[in-house]
Amino acid sequence: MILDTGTVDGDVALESDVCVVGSGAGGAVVARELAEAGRSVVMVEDGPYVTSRDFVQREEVMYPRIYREGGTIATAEYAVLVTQGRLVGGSTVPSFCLCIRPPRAILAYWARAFDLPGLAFEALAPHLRRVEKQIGARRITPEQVNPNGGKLILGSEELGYRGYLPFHNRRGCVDSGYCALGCTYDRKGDMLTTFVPAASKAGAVIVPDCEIRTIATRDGHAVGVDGLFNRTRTGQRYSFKVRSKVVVLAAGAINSPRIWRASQLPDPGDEVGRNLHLQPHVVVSALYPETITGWRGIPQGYVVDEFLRLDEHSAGRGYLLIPTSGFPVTAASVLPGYGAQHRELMTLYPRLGAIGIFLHDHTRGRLEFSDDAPPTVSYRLGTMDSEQLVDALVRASDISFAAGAEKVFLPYNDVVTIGHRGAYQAIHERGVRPNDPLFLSFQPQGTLRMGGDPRHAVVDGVGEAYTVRNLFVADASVFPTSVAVPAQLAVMALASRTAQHIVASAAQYFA
Amino acid sequence: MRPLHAGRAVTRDEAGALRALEIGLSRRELLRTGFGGMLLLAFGAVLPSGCQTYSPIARPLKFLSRKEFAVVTRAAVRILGLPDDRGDEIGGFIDNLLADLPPRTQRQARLMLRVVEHGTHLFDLKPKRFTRLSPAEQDTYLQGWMESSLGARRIVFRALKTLAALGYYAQPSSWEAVGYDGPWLGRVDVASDFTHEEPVSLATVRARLAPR
Repeated sequence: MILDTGTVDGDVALESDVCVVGSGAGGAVVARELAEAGRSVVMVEDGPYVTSRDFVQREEVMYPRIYREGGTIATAEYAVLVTQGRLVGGSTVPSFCLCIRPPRAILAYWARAFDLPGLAFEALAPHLRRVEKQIGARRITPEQVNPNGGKLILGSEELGYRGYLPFHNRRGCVDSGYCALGCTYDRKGDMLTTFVPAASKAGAVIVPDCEIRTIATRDGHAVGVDGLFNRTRTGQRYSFKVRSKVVVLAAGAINSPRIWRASQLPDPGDEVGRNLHLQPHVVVSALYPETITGWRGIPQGYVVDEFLRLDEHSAGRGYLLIPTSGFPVTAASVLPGYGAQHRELMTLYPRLGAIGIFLHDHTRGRLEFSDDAPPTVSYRLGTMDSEQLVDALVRASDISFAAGAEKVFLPYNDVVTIGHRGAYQAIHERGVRPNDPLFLSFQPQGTLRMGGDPRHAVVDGVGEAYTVRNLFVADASVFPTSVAVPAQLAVMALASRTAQHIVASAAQYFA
Repeated sequence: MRPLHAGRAVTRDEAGALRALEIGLSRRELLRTGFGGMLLLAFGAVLPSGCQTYSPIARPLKFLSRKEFAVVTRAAVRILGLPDDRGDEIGGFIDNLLADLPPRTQRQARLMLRVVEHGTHLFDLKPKRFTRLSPAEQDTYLQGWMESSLGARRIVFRALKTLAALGYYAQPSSWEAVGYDGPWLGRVDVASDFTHEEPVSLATVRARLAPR
């Protein structure tokens, strides 16, 4: 069941076997699997409970409502804008639904370099298969690729670049294109329509509108959480407390370490908040002679992985190229230029296609904590990543021209136009600097790293904290490096693995 | 000496102001997050906030002061290349949007607009504030922010541009000109086939979690 916080008119204290903080790809999976195993579960979410009835397909309404800080969390030097969902179901609700398995090579590297044998592909595969089935993951068909995706296919095939139609978790998609604003038609297999209702049906209690501030501990064990309601009947911020035998932190790679630090939990290796990967996302726009109408249909229907170079002996390098799109406000914000030049670009909106560069970053940022505010995200793109990004700008431009583009617009603040194929000197000359081009990030990860060596990791191979017993982390915080692909499936599979460990070790945790 | 933006070095006074600014900016609270992240907010905090010399607004404002309204409308029409007469409409829309945002974001927005209004003195050595400049001077000034070598100024420009984009391109009246056919909701016959759970009272939750 889901609590109507509009009925809360005083401090609230609950007891359960398990308290899960966060209701996204990690938290909802853990809540469901533990509830189905017969455990009493309370899952707490900072954001509101909003559903398809609230998804009104208007940018100015939905961004403030379902994204953390309206989607404008910025890194300290404002090099990257970090966008995270903040609602029941987390970032899975406004996602573009890509279901890409963590690459075998990355998992092999994690297993070997971080002493995590349980993360080898063969070990994780059963969890991947289970969550894929539960969210209805299936391959996008050629007929479902929208014209913008079609341009990426055309250009990359023309140049001989490897790519594929990815899996996604939509069923009966009606091609409205409003995925990033929440699906009005409930055609996504996001957490809001799959794991959250399943968890509720199995007995879990979901508490929205509640900010967890600290984890309570006793004798080195987690014993619950403390927080404040964001919404109540009277408007007053009443306190909220859960006392439980197990706590699962799944609030995302920025908020989970914040809660850890605010709780003053041990961090002997000074690892909490370090190792931040943002998988920066940059958009290259191209003008085609015909109408593209990129905002309609499935926004991300194809993936070019030619330039993602992975091997099991290193973290690899490179990037994915994926079609992307935006509605007018987003397009106007992202498109370069000033004044009449910008306005002219906007009049070309129906003929614009866009390729998103999805960087597998080696840069390791960090969070800086303070007592009274969310953490500062400190992240400055390293030299190797900058070089990769310049290469990606060239490749994306080249693919666009191969697909018939008349011009390519680079994502700098001012208009930098490439008028014909091969004229890429401007990219090399301009290079990369903070906030120019504009970087976005949808999937921060790595800030409570998993590893076999407690000197260099925060959680062990099943996600349990080394320094606090009965405390688990089940979100992208645990990734040892960037996972190289969209993180949704990897988070879900690791969370499932953590949940199954807790179930299998019930005598240890619930005695 | 370091350039504030291309083509001009920093005077001693400017360098001092910039250092003071950077000290302020090193504080987490200002470095952190917010509406595009306005690094120059520390500067804004010490600037005058009065509205005595700004024209009255025909419409009642929910959040913005007359001064802030003037800054955001002028910036929006210049950045987006729109006719001046669209300014009030955009400003009113932005006023409504900002009125519903969290207090910290509102505070950052206020400071950002103050910085833009008075940054003319610091960055361009102009005797006039932004809203008193000619349209051509406003363009030069705002493009100075867009192209600045100082990342903090570029992000202020980004934030202004995002506000302007919200204020104009979120409005249905702007869509036809850019070829956007608008939301499907209410005009395309597609329904959800999923029933979402209705939330329950606290008493019901307590009953669920009662000892078995």
